[in-house]
Parts: sequence; structure tokens; C-alpha cells
Amino acid sequence: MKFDLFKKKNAAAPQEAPAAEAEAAPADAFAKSGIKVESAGHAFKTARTGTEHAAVGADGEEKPVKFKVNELNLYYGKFWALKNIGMEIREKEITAFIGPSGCGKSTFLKTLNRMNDLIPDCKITGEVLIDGVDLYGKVDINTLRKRVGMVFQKPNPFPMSVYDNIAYGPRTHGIRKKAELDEIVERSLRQAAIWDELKDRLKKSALGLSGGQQQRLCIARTLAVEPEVVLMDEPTSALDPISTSKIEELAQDLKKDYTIVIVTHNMQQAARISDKTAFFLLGDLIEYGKTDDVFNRPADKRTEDYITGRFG
Amino acid sequence: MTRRQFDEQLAELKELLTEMGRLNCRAIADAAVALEQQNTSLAGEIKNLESAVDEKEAEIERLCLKIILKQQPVASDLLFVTSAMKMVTDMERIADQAVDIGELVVKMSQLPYADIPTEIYDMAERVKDMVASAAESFVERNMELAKETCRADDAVDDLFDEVKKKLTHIVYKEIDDDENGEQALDMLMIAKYLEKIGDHATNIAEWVLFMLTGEHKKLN
Repeated sequence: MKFDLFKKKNAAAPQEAPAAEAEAAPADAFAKSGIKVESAGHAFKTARTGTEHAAVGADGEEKPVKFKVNELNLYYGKFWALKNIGMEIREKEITAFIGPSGCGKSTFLKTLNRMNDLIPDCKITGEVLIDGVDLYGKVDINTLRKRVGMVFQKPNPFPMSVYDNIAYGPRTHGIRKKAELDEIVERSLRQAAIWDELKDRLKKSALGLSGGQQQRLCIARTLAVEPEVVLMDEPTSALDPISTSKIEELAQDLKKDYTIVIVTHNMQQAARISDKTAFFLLGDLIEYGKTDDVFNRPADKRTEDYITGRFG
Repeated sequence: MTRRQFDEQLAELKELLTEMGRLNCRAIADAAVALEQQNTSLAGEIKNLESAVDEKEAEIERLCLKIILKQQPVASDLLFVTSAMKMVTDMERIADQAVDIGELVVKMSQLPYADIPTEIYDMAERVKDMVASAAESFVERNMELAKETCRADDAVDDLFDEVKKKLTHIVYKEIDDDENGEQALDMLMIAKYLEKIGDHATNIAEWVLFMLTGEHKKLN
């Protein structure tokens, strides 16, 4: 299928951007959003640097790095929401973020496709590299959001037909031919394991679907623009157990082709579906490693207390 | 956020395992004394201990399943519950073999021991200590003691080889003496039971190490 428009712009970029590039002026779109970006990683060289967590599980079997985060700090006004976060997120794996409410996990998830740009008084320092390129540097925000899609806690289909929901993204990116859109709609719905349920109601309103169907529709909508990464912010917390299992199985299937990062309050879910787990507490990344290790023998007492339910 | 009910269940599990370990120690200690003194009444009583051990095993398994079902343990809690389920199998086997030894002691009570290799008493003493130290390493969460328990098994194995060699010699020598020959073979079975008890004590210690480190290694 011809889908040149969506080809990665940065596919050939080196893993490590040269320092000068990383410190380049912010893109126009970002400047307009009114968020101040400081140059990478000088302001807060405290105890934890990016390398500490980046080294986790760096054995021969590891998949390539998709995101590399170095000394990331984020402030909402005076509130220090993320403190010197450093981690690597691997390609075609499921990485789960866990932690109590307000620990910064959703905030961190949103830095991965610059969703925080829209929040006033948000200040970010440090760098977030995607395929080696700082996404707070010279990147086109629309291209970035196409490469890094997001699924939210509450299913949020557009008030239009199932078909139009899925075709919305590709149309925005200039695809007009019906045959091509038909193909995208079918492929996306199949990938989201909902084609069989919806193939006869493509022209019906998406708002008439059940919560679980709506959420899978939203995943299909995200997949329609062929992203590389799918961010999921508590995607099953509003769903019943059967819909939850479907989304979990879907995530497992999708990781063959996509990098998935999921925020969840359901510890068992993180243990069930993720390859790596990161535990956040009060804006700190406390522990990050293979999920089996984190849930069997966490290295940090605070992780142990949280996952065994003895926190606080 | 606290988990009072969960913590109580884990404490109960520990209490049951400690009690089962205590019963085990008594079973093997009684077997050792009965063997050395040809004490048939003591030998016969081991059966009661074994029944109590079996009850504890069933109780522990039920509690573990309940904890897994209701509390979905992770991290150190999961290691604890898993090792408990594995440990009870070895504990139950130890009690069984103590009973087997007791039954042989009763069977052999018609005759005084003839030419019995004294190493077998040493074996009994050592495996008794191993069972006790395995149980203690669990209660005290003592990694060093658990490792020591595993290491102690080598000496037991060596003693078994020695006993076997001597008993083989007796069987050859007394080839025309049915009674002494049979006594030697019964004694060989006792030695084998003791050797197996040493293996089970080692297994228990390995599960204690698993509980403490998350890694299960065969140390012996």
C-alpha cells in the first residue's frame, strides 16, 4: 500500500543525537505553546542521572531503544512533577508505568508525545529522544503525534460513524481515495480485534457502541495513521473484565509491530502484559526493570511496599 | 493502605510451617533414638507424628491456595507462599521416611544387632541436625544457616557410601546366615532412608534460599 506520507522522517537518525542538535532551539509549534524549554540536562544534576535506569537489563537480547530519556524534569508552575527521570524504552515491547495517584506516571507518559505542551505553566528540562532525535527539539508536532499515538482512560470516539472515526486521521494526513480509506479502516479494525463485530455497522454512530467496543475503536483509530508507538493511559480502568481481557490480548498482539507504553493502576495487569515495569513515586522513577524481576524480587523497598499493597 | 487480613494470613502460614518443622524434627529424632536403642515403643509412636505432619501439610496447602486466590501475592509474599507449598512436600516425605525407619526398627527387634556399622548412628545424628537447621533457617530467615544445611549433605552421602560398603561385606561374609544377612539388608534400607531425609532437608533449605533471594538453585 502506498502510504509514503507517513514514512518516518527520522528513520535514519543516529541513536545518539549530537549535543548541539539536542540543544537546538525549540520548534515553532512548541514555542507558540508558551512552554519554556531549557537546554538538556545541566540544571539538575543530582543523585540520579539518566544512566542509572538506562542500564537496566542491558543484555544481548534487548530490543533496540525507541525512547531515551535523559535527566527529564517537569514543573507545573512551582510543582516539581518529574524529577531527573532517565530511562530507555525499548522497541516492540510493552512498558508499564505503575505508581500511586499523583506520582507522575501519566505526566511522564504525556511527555513522550508532548501532550503536556497544552498545559499552561508547564516547564520541561532535559531531553526525550525518539530514535535518537530529541522530540523537544526540531520536530514537527503533527508528525510526532502521528508517530506516537495515544489511547485514553475514557473511550473518546468522535460523534460520527465508525468508518469516519477511523478515516479521520488518514484524511487529515491527505488521503482521499475511498478504496485506500476502505483498506485502512478494515486493516485498523482488524488489528484492533473488532472488525468482526463492526463490519456490518461501519456507517452507524460510534457513540452507540459499548464501552469496550468504543475503546477498541479508539485503538483502531490510533492505528489507522500507522504509528510506531501507542501510549495507553489506563485504557481499561473504565471497562468490564471481558473488555479488559480483550484489550490486554490486543496489546500483546500489537507489540509485534508497535512499541506500547501503558499506565495502569491495575498491578496484575502490569504483571500480566508488560515486558518492563517502571515504578514512580512522588515524581521519582524508583525502579525500572524486567516485569518478572520487579514483581518477583523488587530491588527497592518502596517498590515492594507498593506492589504488595503495604504502601503508605 | 495496609493489608491486615493478608498479614494475618501470612503470619498464620509461618506459624503452621514452624509447627510442621517442629513435628518433623521430633519424628526424625525419635527414629534416631529408636534405631540406636532398639526402642520399639518409641518407633511405633512415630506414626502419630506422621499423621500430624500430614494434617499440617493439608492445612498449609489449603491456606496457600486461599492466599493466592484472595490476596494475589507478589514479590516477597509470592516467594514465601510458593516456597511454603514446595517445602511441605519435602517435610511430608521426611515424616514418611521416619515412619519407614521406625517400622524396620520394630521388624528387627527380634534379634540384637549383630555386626552393625556404627556410621549409621552418625548418619542419623547428622540428618536430624540437618532437618532441625533447615527448619530453623526458615523460621529465622537465616540464609547462612540454609546454605550450611545444604553443605552438610555431602558428609551424609559419604557416610552412606561407607555404611553400604560395610553392609555389603557383611552380606557376603554371612552368605549362609539368613538372619544376619537380612538384618544387614534392612539396615541398608534404613541408611538409604536417612540419606533421602538428608536430601529432603537440603531441598527445604534450597526453598528457604529461594524465599530469601528469589532464585532457586540446586545446591546438592
